[in-house]
Amino acid sequence: MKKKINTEEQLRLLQEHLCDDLDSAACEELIDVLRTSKECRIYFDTIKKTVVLCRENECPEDLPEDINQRLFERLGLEKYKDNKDPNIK
Amino acid sequence: MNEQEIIERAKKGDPHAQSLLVNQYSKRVYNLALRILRNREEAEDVLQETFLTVINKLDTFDGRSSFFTWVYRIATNASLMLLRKKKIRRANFRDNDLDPEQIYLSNVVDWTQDPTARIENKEIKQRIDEALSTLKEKYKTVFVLRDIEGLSTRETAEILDISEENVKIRLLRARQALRNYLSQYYEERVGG
Repeated sequence: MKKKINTEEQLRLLQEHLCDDLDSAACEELIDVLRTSKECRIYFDTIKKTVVLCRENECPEDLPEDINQRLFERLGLEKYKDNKDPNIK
Repeated sequence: MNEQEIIERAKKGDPHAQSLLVNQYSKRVYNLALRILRNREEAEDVLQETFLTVINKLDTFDGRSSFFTWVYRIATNASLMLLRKKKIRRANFRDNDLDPEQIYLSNVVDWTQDPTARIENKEIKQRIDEALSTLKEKYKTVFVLRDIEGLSTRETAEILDISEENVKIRLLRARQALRNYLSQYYEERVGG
């Protein structure tokens, strides 16, 4: 059987903390909640770990050269494809 | 030339300035589309559509938002339009995974310290790919913009044309859904 967090306040605190928007007083409150509830701490830690794993999974890729070539062709800017210096006219 | 000068020249049709803008943002637009669509060919389509729109509608850019935000909004909308056309089936994702009222405090061990909880683990990587592929679009878009692209709540709200409060709610739900998906995997391992 699983337990649910059903305290609105806990949920709000978790949500705001995870959005990095907590002011310091509310942050203290969250720490207290986490201290008194092992389940809350596990929930919080697993959310954070999930975000880290997803970030690592989604590393940015370089734009493949063939895709870049087709992009500039589509835009009619083939002649300027390698133009990256803002000071060259 | 700074970016404002480049934009002004590009508005007047200067191909040199237009190409500078394309080179400045193409990699980020491609990666954004790839993360939302999870398909390289479609990400390329979005990349092209985005910059066609950027160049054709540059005169409507009024500078109220940053140029980057404006480009990202165009790219996000193009990605979402394509995603809706695909009508992805989400059969693998149980409905309750996305129910905001169900924030389960699993009784399983804290898997954050499990040595297999690493992206180098193929099973975990596959599990994350599955979860991100099947996450509902409104949650996935916010998750990608906030947690993967690292944009602020305000920028994300501006790009998606929703309130900041709505961004926070969707982000919470996305994280919960993804977390539940991974937690189920570890529950099955422990149980199985």
